[in-house]
Amino acid sequence: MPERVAAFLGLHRDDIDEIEVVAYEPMAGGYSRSMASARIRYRSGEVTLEETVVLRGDPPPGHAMIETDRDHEWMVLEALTQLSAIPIPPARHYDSTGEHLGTKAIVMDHVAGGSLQSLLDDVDDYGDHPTRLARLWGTVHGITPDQLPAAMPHPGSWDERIDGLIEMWHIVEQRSVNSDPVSRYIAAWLAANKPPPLPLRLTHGDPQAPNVMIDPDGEYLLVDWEFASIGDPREDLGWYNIYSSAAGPNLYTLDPEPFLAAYREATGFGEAEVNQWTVGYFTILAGIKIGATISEQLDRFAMGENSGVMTAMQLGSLSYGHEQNLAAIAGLQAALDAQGAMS
Amino acid sequence: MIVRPTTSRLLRDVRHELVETIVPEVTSATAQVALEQIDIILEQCAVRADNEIEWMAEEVAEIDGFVGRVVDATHDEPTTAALQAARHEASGSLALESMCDDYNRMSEALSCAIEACMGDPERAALLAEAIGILQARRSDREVDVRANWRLVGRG
Repeated sequence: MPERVAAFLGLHRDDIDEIEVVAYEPMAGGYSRSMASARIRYRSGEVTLEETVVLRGDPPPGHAMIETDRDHEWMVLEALTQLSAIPIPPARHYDSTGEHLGTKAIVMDHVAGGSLQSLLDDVDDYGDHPTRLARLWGTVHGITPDQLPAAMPHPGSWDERIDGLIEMWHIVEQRSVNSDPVSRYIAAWLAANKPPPLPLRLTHGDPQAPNVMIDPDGEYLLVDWEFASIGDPREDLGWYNIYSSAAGPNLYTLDPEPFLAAYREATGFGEAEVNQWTVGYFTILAGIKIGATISEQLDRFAMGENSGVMTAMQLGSLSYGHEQNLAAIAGLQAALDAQGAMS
Repeated sequence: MIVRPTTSRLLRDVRHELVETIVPEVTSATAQVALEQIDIILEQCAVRADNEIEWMAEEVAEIDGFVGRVVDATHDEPTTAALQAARHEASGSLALESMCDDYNRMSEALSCAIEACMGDPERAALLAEAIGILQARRSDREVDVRANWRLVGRG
């Protein structure tokens, strides 16, 4: 693999005499893709420089925990690089066929500072990270659909987007090898209790602390754009909430109101649309976007078409989702009932 | 057949061997993460081996009784059809694959019953009962099966 990486980088650098991969190491922590870091030495005349890059590629066929589209991810990264509105580590090159690197793979800058998750794991006082994170999500949600590539699916309306997500709960359940009354209950409840709409915006799709890198200057950089889409911005708040409840700390539930105030300030959205109840609703709704791919891979696993301990681990994710969603609906319904009793 | 040590006892012994003998010899970070995940899955298998057939049988019986009352109260066509299918096609076998099929068919009947009750104030009590089944029979047992599950190796 190191030779392949050196040869691929060489295709993009005709100003370098020699490129050598002096270290190559698979990285733990990439749940959806195979990740590796490569230490590269460039030699040009008397000058020698070194840097580290990250390779992000598809796992071998039949071993993916989640199937996502590398072409889509590269398209989003290119668009965001041009916009320069969201802090992301520069994406360098893309092997769109896998002919050079053995699998479709993106080469990105390595961020030396580590992830926000690693930082939060090591401290007791989270400082201003909750409001900084809220503002980061708000920055993402400042991107309007007309700023994004035409090749990305553009929903015709807010109702179309939300109804489509609710329908996904049905479709995933109907296709699955498991009949799941919890999913059917969730879908029925979501359809009966839709919140007030917001304008459609860019959504990251998998916002979580492990996907926020911190550079040596302490600035946030947002990575892993494979689930990016155009949707209701609160889908991201909901996904952050459910993911961070499973793998904390959850900087939203720590103190929701300052988090939401910072987010509303960054986006200009109002309190009627962005509040604890609507975040709760989208915590349930948004789970299906990644839940669908997890469920599909587990079905393939059940039928002997897929394998891997990482995939088997996702049985826990689905059952965790059941538990959290049932509790969330109970809480949200109680709030609605209390509101109804008062009016 | 030799039934003891039970499947769960065997699996937990494998876990012990992995943790005490294999893991200390492994230095690769990715292999350590994989071993930690394998340990979690083995414990989940142990819990399922001890309980899953009994739990499915209990839930099938409880759903059958509940959905029968929903059909009596609502005469909802999809619920009636799903319950009839679940009863008619029930294998009555304790073999795991047959039991999974019976469980799936009865689960479909419960889904239809929930949809028939959603949003109708007169059926609120039935809906609450259905949610109780989802919680006590399904979700709480999934928590037991999840065992020592956690998102290993993230970040």
